[in-house]
Amino acid sequence: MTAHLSKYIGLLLGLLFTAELLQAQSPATTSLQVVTKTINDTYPYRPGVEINVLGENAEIFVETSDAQQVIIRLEMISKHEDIITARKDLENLYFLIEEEGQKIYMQNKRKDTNLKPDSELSVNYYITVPEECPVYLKSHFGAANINNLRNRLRIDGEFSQININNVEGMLDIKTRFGDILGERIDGNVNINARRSDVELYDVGGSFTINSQFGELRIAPNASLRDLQISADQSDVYLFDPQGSPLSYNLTTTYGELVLPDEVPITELETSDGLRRVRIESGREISGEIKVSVTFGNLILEKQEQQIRRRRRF
Amino acid sequence: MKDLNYDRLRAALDRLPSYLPPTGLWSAIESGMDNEFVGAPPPFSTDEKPVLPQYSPPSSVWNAINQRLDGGEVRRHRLRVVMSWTAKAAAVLLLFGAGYFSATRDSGPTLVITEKVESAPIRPTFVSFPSEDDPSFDALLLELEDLNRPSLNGMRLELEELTSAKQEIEAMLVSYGNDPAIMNQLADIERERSSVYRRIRSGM
Repeated sequence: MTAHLSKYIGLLLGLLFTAELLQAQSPATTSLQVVTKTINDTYPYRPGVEINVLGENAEIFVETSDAQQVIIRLEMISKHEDIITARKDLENLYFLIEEEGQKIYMQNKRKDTNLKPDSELSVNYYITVPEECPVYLKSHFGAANINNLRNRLRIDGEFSQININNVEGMLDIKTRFGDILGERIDGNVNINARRSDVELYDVGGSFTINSQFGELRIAPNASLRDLQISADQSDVYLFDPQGSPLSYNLTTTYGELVLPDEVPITELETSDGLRRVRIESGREISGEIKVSVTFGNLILEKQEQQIRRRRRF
Repeated sequence: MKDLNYDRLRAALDRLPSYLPPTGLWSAIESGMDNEFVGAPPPFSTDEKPVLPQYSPPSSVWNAINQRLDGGEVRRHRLRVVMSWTAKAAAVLLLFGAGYFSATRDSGPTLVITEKVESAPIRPTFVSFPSEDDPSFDALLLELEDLNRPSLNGMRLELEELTSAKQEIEAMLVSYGNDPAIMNQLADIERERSSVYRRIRSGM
């Protein structure tokens, strides 16, 4: 009996000790004082006007509406445990907007670039434009989220996640250390990505993609006319749409080429470290995919079901 | 012109009779002129006035003049009506213009400052390895430069690029505070740097 009792006491003490340890290791929940400065502004839209946004540590949202206006809402946010500190640090942020000729420029800046804030500072842009409005975004840290545009979109991103949904027209995207996630894109698209993953789903039109040190996952639809990928130190995943309406020219150099079993391939070249194959669609008119991968693998898979994009934001 | 018979002519002239006006004539003329000057009737009778012939114009002339006068009246009336409607239209346009301007005029940006409280997010934890301040890091880069092997040079450039990116992220953390999203990016870069570092070590 005594032995049992001492065993139970020991077990209880052990549980208490473990609970104490867990509590000590868990982070103490603290609250943050959040001060937000919101600026609203509206400009009349004239055909040909382009929006230029230079965001620094800013999340940029671009949406469309039927109104012939450029509607801007900017949030500058400061977070700190102490409200006075949060307010003081927020004062170092400012927003610049300027209309010059056919361009509307927006930019967030720091007044004193040498000032080291104690608060967490961030900026959000919410921009609503007509769908035919051309947009240029330069994003240094932060993110860019673009929806429903129909004309010209240019993005120059560094350390910025880029999300594009339902966009048509001419797209020119350059990114470094910032992943691209796109869905329902159609038009002439040019992407240069370095140290960035690129995922494109349900895309048509004409694409040119250059990638270094990143993973590419491309799921075209039947309306794809042309896709050219040049990848270096990158793995490329292609998802062949149902009905195989596309022809492929695939090359790997010092990498592995993985193809579905049932696909009839024509070997064009096999030499030291290099393999080049062609896969015909069997149709008179078909989209053409040309991929060259160096120091990376190329994997072709069938789109057996709707591929769900990976949400990472 | 020289007169050749001057003497004869002189004598003829001297023979001409001389006349003097009757006395009182000049005073009568003078008084008559004075009377006329103060509004007195003229020194000659009305019977002496010349009588001008009178002509009646044909009736068609007066009809034509009347028609033209009537036409001008109509035009003036029409002009007055047009002017009146123009003024009304201008007033309406002015009102609409003022309304449109007040509805669409750029009233400038609006600024709102709000404050709220939220719970602090859990910070990502990571170990910076290897640090560019670490002597072993510099030693490794120097060693790679000395080796100058193609198989390692690519990785050395990769490591340098990642280290440069890490420094950019750290600068952003200084400028904008410890933003959790940026700290996650730093953690990703550190993982890649660590991976390259290990590959270099294993390849040496």
